[in-house]
Amino acid sequence: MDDTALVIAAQNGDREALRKLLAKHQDGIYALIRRIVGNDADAYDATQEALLAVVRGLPGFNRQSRFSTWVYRVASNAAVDQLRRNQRNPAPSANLEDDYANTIARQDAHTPSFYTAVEDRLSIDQALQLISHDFAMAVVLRDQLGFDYAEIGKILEIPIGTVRSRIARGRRELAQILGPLRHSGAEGTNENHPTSN
Amino acid sequence: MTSDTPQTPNEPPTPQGSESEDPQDELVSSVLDGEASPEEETQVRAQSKLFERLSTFSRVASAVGAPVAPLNELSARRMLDEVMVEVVPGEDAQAPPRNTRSRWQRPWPALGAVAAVILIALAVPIIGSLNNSDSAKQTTEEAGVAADATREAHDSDSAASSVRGHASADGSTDERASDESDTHAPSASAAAQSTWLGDFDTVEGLANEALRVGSLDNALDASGALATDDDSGTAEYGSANPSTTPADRRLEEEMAASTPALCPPISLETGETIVERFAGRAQGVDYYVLVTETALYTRRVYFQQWADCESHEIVP
Repeated sequence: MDDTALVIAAQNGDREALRKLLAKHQDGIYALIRRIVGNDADAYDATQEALLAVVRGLPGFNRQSRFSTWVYRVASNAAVDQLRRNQRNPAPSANLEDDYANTIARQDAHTPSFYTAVEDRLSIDQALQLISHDFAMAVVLRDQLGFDYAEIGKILEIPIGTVRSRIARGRRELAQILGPLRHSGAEGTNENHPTSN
Repeated sequence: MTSDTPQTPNEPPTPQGSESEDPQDELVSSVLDGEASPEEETQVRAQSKLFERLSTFSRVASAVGAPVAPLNELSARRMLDEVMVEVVPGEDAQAPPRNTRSRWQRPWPALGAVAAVILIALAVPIIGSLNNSDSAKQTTEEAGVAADATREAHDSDSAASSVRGHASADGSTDERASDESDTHAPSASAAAQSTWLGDFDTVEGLANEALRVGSLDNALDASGALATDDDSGTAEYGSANPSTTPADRRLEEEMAASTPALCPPISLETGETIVERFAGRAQGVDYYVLVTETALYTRRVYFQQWADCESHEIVP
């Protein structure tokens, strides 16, 4: 049963259809949020909030857009809300070096010592935390979930040109942050580092 | 080629120089995504610099697109159960007990909360000095476990009310139960206000009982249920004046003989309030148990071995 049929059934009170609908998109929602918020616990909470929001908003969903578009819009909002909650209630970092790296990254992304400091431990999750969540969201929707630019534009409610720009800028910043990881890997060298051009 | 600039008010500062970096990044990125024209793709592949950039972006895309470990089946099902219960009236009968959601793996902010909560529950005279923080920290790390459950909003309201009623029955801490986010030290009688839940085989069993009792409409009924449910002979029942129960007297005596220690302060989340205090035993170890509720109506249970801490501080 496709989304439309499930949505109609759910809107008509079919609980099983509602559950199937949620289950169908649960992993994707979690994957998006997990990449954006950067840890399992927050991702769990935000995913649950997103699902709650979906169910609460389902009666008003007019089916003029794809259900998945609407769902991932809700999910992206839930992820941003979670980030904001974290900003309001910052947890003391268990790794002060990460905070330091974060600070340095925002102050000067071209400082070589920053790359040296983080190259062995900076994961893609951490890297995504260092860039604008607007950029991160667009990149994750594209690279993690495979949406095309038009769909991403609908999800984020921005023009396609802005989608293109955000993805490019997000990748550029991620490449800056992750450059040394490539350098230490089997392929790629710092010659590819964007700041060296 | 479009060069739209996102206009978001909360966008963090762009790293210096990034705007002036390769202006063809959008072109390269579009080619990578199959969103460019054949001519543009030819252009990118024909220029070594752009082709290198394409390779760089490809690696970044692969990293971002690496599979995210999905929720395990149990967690996924539990989440759906909780969502359905939360928003679909009448779903309760089909859903597993909502108070079984485990938070054991919640990262360390919760562990911090554990420490604070524990200290609250200890609620004995503050005699600890600040010279034993290492042992307190160790205790927190070793003994801190947490569980929570999402509840329906109306349940949480009634539960919170019941806790306030339970506390006021003691006549000494009416306001504390409803305003735990304030910074203050516990009264010496706080431990005596903790309802004894019983003796359990596992800490999770104790947690579930705390959540179950904390979910009932009033503490007095909950205490009765405890007495009925427990057939081990070791559990005592609470009452409107739990300090009179044998279990609480035993706890008070044991606490009086405990070694003072100072537990670190904790920070409850915004909107997270303490709604119930309990004491209980699991695997032969006595615990103080605190049930909290977040602004999102998520219930959490915090534990601490009662003998480990004697003072506490809550940071609002």
